[in-house]
Amino acid sequence: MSSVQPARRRRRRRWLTAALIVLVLLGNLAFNPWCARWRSLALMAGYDQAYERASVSYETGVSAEMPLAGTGLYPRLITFNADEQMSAWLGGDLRFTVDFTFADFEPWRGYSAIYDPDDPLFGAYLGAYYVQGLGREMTATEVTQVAEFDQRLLALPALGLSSRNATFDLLDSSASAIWFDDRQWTAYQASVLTNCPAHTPEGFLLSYLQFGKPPASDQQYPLCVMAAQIDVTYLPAEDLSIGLYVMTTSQDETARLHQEVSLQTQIVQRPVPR
Amino acid sequence: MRHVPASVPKPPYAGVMAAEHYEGSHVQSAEVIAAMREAGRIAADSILAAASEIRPGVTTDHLDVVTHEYLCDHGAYPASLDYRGFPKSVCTSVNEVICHGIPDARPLRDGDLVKIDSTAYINGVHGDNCATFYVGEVSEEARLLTERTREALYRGIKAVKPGRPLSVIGRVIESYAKRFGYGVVREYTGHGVHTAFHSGLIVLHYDEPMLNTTMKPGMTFTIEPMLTLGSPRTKQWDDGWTVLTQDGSWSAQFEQTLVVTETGSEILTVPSSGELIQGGEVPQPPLS
Repeated sequence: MSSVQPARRRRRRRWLTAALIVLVLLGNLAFNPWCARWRSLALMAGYDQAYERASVSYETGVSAEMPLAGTGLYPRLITFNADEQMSAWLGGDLRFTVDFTFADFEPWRGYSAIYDPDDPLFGAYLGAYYVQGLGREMTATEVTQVAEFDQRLLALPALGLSSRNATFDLLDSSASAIWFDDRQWTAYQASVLTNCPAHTPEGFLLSYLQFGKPPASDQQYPLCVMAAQIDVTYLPAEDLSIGLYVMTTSQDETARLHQEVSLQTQIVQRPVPR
Repeated sequence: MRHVPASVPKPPYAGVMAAEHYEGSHVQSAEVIAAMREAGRIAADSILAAASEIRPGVTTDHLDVVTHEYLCDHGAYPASLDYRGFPKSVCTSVNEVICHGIPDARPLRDGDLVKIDSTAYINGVHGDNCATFYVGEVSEEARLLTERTREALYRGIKAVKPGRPLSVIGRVIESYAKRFGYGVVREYTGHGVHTAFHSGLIVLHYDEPMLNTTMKPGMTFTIEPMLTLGSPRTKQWDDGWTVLTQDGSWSAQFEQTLVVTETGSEILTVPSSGELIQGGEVPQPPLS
């Protein structure tokens, strides 16, 4: 007995130590600002899976594969569906999914650079729109409306600015035809006056789990001039418009991400799940 | 100094060298705004009258005469005249002169850019505006600078809405100018204008987030971006007025006086024709 007891105690101690380490790690993941990026990635993986299963791309089998590595962006696209809201916004019976990503977290910072006015990706978003059910290609006006819907009714309210107080003024736009990924696209370039996300937090927002909690700011959702580029293609068989979008505060940064991500994107068609 | 008929009331600052002192509200009454529409209309028409005379060989002094006579004939005092010692009734700024150019005997040459800045004072209020015009055939570079400066002004005006900070105007203008590598002059700004010529309210044409004045319905001010082909750094001649680019690069300017409305803004410097001054090509005089 006397020889068994210490071994059992040691095992128990080891087990307790391991449990304690796990608890500390979980606690850190849950509360430590330095772990904000890992917390965000862990939570967004679950969140994304829930939305992805009801997305346009899941149901049609068509998705935009966007290369994000090395771009300074958060390393995954997050999916959000808003069929009813978009149907009401554009009119008709539509399906709408937006995939989006934003500035990555900087090391040892508890928040994404999306909040940092000195970062080139301040207020930036990149991703893809999927609009199904229009019966035709989206018009230039509809492309603008989709972008406005995304920014003014989804993105900014999630960051704590109500859509009533959010600004989205189109300053200019132009369109041209381009060819990549073996298909024809219409490239829309625009500049837009809209709000950037810098703000001093008052209370807790769910989006802080995703972007981290911003530092105090001397500006509340300042108006920024954003350079936007949306490349739109239409897949008649699925009655699906796909828009690859980039929006940043500088023409140069938008051009860079357009080159590194949008133009390298592949539209992938997989068997539709039963 | 050109003669102003006694029937034309002078503003309180005429002949006074000291700076204006205005301590009232930046928000104006409906009566003041209505009076500013009239002052703005006369100021805009005076620019069109002067611009219709622009051609190679014409002196800027002649443009001064035309503007002066137009304003006085319509019961308005040329607000520039004797404003802190300014000797003429209009500012005419040619090529590398950014603003506050004093009309003189130099004849305009084919290919020049000339900015005409005219302010009318009537019924106790001001209308202030400026436009850039071509003298004969101008270079493509000068034409684009002119068109884009006009566009920059209208982008700035588009950004005007109650509740927004004034700084958004400069943000929009500067971001547009940067696209083309143009300089945005920083030392000279838009200003509050109404009963006072320069009320103390500052409207920057570049991004300065610390300028946190919030726009309110009834506020009246000018937006008047000055863009340059090169560096926006300025220098001033010994005359104490003429401002030009340090590097000699050409500059263009457009200006409107406007009022913040409940939903956006209203331009107050609208000519009698109802069509805003476009600048660029010289307007043809009306057929008699």
